[in-house]
Amino acid sequence: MATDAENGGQHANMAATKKQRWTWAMQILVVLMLLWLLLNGTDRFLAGLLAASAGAGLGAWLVSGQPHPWKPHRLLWFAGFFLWESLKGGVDVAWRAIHPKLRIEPCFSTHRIELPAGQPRTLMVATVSLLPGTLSADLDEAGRDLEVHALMPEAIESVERLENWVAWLFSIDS
Amino acid sequence: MSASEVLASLLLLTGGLFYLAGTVGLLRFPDVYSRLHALTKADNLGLLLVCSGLSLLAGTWRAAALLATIWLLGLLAATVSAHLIARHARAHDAAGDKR
Amino acid sequence: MIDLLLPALIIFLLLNLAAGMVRVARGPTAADRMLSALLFGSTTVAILLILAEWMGEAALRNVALLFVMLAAIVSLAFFGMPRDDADDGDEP
Repeated sequence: MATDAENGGQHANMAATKKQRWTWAMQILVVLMLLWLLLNGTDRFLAGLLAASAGAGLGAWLVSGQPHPWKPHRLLWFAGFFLWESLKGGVDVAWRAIHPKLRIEPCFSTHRIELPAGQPRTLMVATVSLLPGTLSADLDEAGRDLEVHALMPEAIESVERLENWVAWLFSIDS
Repeated sequence: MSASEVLASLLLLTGGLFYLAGTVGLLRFPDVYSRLHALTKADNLGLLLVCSGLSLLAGTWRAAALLATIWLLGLLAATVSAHLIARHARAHDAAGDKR
Repeated sequence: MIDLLLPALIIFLLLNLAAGMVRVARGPTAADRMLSALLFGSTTVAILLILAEWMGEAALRNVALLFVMLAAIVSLAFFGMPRDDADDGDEP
């Protein structure tokens, strides 16, 4: 009975993964196509479509683990959040650098990442470095414990906030 | 001089100042990790401001989109490099402690 | 006015880059030297983009695009992919 339930669970899981893979491929296709149009204009549209499809197919095929598609409108909100935070981050670090007293108190802290492996975790590790006062310094072998370097101890709190944003972007409920 | 040119000049000048602040941080901050903060964040804001100013001057959507893509790729490059440099420094520190 | 501002900004960024290069000379660690590569990357891209606008050479923007893509690869080439690092730390 246990194996039955397991099989059923696995099957549902695989179907979900297949659908996710398709969504993922479509999302890559749109991004690549936009990039082609940007660099090349509308001439040789067909060549671009072929290249973008090939890229999307390859991307969806090679993606390790389970792909996590994003919701386009949430990506816009995330971009807004990110833009605002990187503005704050730049102003903050510039102010600290030119301040005569050099107002920094560097410290390390370990943060346990709750996000699933793959795109969510990668995005999180990548964006930590661009937020005000934090820098992702090291990741353990399993990719769970993130060593965060902070210019000020207070900055550590923003890592948690970022994690919630990334979870929301990829529709992961925690 | 038109209004958009004034705005573009302001954006470009502010961008230059952030580049300067990044270099000041690079020279003043006490350790590798803090210097990384200064470089990645200040320079990326500098690049963002320079790109915005130049998009205003160029005046076409396509140029603006290309500049935005360049900025995004710059972010990617900076965050990848920063993580790798910090990681390298960590490994080095750990090895140094044992010696 | 803009025609003066753009070259002035290029010179300013070049001086800025030169000042940052002091870090290469001072070191003290290899990581500090790599920091200058990071500074070099972001400054060069800005300079190329400003040049593109000043000289009216849109093709220079594509050069900047290529440059910024190479910047990420340079540090990957220098440090290797994170997974290869693991055997570094094992040494007693």
